[in-house]
Amino acid sequence: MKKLKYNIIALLFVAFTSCNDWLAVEPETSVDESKLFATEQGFKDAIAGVYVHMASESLYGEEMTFGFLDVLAQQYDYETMGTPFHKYYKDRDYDYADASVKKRIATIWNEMYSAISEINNILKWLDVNGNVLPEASYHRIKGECLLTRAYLHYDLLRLFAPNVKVSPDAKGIPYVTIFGVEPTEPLSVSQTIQLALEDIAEAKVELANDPILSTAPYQFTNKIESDRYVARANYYAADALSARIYLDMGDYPHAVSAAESVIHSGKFNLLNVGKSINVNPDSLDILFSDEHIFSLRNTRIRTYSEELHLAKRTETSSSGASLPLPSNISEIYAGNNDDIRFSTWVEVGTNYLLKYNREIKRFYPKQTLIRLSEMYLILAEAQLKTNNNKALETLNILRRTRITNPATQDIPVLSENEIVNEMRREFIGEGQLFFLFKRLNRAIPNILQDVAPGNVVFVFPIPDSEKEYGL
Amino acid sequence: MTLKLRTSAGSTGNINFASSQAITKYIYSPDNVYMDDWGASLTGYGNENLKWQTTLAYNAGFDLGFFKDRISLFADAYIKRTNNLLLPVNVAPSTGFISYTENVGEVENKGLEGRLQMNIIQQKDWKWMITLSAFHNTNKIRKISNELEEMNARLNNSEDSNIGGNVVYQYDKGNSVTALYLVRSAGIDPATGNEIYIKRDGSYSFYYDYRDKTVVGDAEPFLNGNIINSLSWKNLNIYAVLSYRTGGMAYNSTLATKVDNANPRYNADKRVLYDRWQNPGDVAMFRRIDDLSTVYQTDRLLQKNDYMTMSNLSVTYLFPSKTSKKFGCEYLKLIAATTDLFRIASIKQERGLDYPYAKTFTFSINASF
Repeated sequence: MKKLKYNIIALLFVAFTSCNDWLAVEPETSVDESKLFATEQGFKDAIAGVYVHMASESLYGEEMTFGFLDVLAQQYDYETMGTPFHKYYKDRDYDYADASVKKRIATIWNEMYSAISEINNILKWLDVNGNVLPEASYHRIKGECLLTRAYLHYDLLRLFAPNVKVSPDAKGIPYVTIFGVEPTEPLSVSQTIQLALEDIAEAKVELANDPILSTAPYQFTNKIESDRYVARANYYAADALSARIYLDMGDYPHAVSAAESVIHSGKFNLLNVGKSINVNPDSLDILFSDEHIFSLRNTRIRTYSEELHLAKRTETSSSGASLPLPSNISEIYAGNNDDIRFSTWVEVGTNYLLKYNREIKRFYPKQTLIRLSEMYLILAEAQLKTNNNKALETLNILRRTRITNPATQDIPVLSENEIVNEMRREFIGEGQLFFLFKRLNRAIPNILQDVAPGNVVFVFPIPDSEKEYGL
Repeated sequence: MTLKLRTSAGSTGNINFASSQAITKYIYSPDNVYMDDWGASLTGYGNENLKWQTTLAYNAGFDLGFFKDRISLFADAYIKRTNNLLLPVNVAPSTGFISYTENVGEVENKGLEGRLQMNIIQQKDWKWMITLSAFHNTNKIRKISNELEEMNARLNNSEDSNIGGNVVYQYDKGNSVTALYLVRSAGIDPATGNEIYIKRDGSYSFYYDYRDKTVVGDAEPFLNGNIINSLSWKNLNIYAVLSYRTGGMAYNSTLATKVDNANPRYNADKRVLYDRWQNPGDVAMFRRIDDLSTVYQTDRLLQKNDYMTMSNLSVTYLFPSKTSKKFGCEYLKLIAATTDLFRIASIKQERGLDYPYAKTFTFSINASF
């Protein structure tokens, strides 16, 4: 009996001392690619991983939307950032040579291409092992991959290459379609766009049976159900992205047809104030969910926004001060208190952006990549440029869903200025405005002094670590 | 006196070969749930063609004991040849990766290690032991792969790898892996405030040319080691570790980025105003104050990287078993410890701005029941 007792003690001792070895064992959460891509669920997890990556803080979760890109579009109070302790101190002046800004830009480059490599590996494995997938899944995943690859490359191009209308033959960016460590040669801006359009066209073929075609996401009361269709690349996101690209290229007829295809699809719906805004505060639809065409979910977006906009301190917070919208934000909304966007997105008195930091249980924290309102704005701009007299009505349709007082809804005459003003009201916190000023080669409005348009502002320098490879 | 002689030769595979270096892997993290799926993220590029790194090692040494081993000396000499050396090779970030692991060549390490252990006091209540250790290592590249040669060429060509605070390593056959390649400098010209570069043939020039880069030093120290003191009185013990290194060089990145390359219009180090060249005739360490162009790396800011640091100091008290039983413990120990208490360094550089270094003070109680 006594001997047995010692044996037990000895056993316990062994069990405790081997703790260190347990820690050395590779965690079970790590998996070889061949094992991941052996099942349908593995493929789904891989594409989900791409969306998670895109929704991260350094990409669309913050920097590519309400963070860095909106700072560059002068969407925040310039003075507040005017201290060396503010993380956007150098960014607000487009000091792309400054070490901290360089690092931010290099991170965007690296992470965007890292997400692209994840896509390319899924596509590679679809070729190798696609037969483990049911037909429908195979095509849907392939379509999502191709479309997302086009989306990411197009944003990289918009950041790192000059405006296509100004310099179509300038050097673009590498359009990477293979998984591996061999670098891809960059092509010209217009050639890069062609590759994106080809990916979109192929994606549309693959998405010919996308589940979104047999439902209407906006009709679900439970928006989590809608996200199954719109919180991922889908058939209409393909048209919406091409509308955006054609407008940038100045190909207005194609922009019109692509935008109209989305508008008339019946899958999305412009804001319904009664249903979405004039409701109980805990079910306020602050992100206009019915308009989402392609969006990303990330529960931490609220934290990112709290850190940046409200300066709620966390372990990683480096901003230290709350960051309000510019002090003339009321003028941007033409002083119109009946504008829903002004009254729900901007906090009275402080001018804080509320879009992403309010806790609303009914909705999951998200960032939109493309919304239906952008299609109306693209359509209006393309119609205006082609002297189509429907342009004014197109814009007013959108305004009537934004402004509750009929007396101030319609504008009488349309001009490029009116469209720009509407976009400045519409896209706060979505990173689109920087691209707007770049597309139209316009000065970026700033209360102190407008920022003159030009490549020094609109074109990010290629990161040093990439330039070593001859880009 | 006792004497033992040792010698060995052997070949080993490398135990640090992680499977993720050869196989592309994904990782699941609990934060990455996306709708109904669990997002899997790529962890890196696995190089399927990777070969095992092997090391051939020869070793000879002796142990010497004096005064009934009150003083012991241990010494070893070794030569290690590593084949198929595994190193991260940088790639264009547009591939989606920063680097991947590749077999890049063959490296030879030669070194000497010595340790002197002295039990100075060995009494019932008092014990004092000093251990001195010293390591000397040199390494030489015997062979390099094509990938590494390409990487060298790229780094050499690129203007960007010759600026900033960090010297980019280059790997050349016959040289050390930690050799520092820089253009030599004759200092700041008192007449103009511009830097004078020394070309390979020894002539002077105001123009920087990366082809004039040459080995100007090595980052690896000639000697490093520890001095360990352990002093006990009854159950109280003081343990102190002094670490030192000498004979290595480092590029002073603080002077490069915060002084020589700082824009005086912004908040800057005061040396920008006081120590940079301003008027003809100034003999200055730093270049013309109104020159805002990028600074190229030269050996002007290369400095000796010698230091001594109190890397660990701890005081321990072990309760006698009678006392600890009173608390219901088999064993009870109090420990107060600190790391990095002080540091004497030949190079004055900022530390811990990007990555914090820790000066910690800890107090702990160890008990077993």
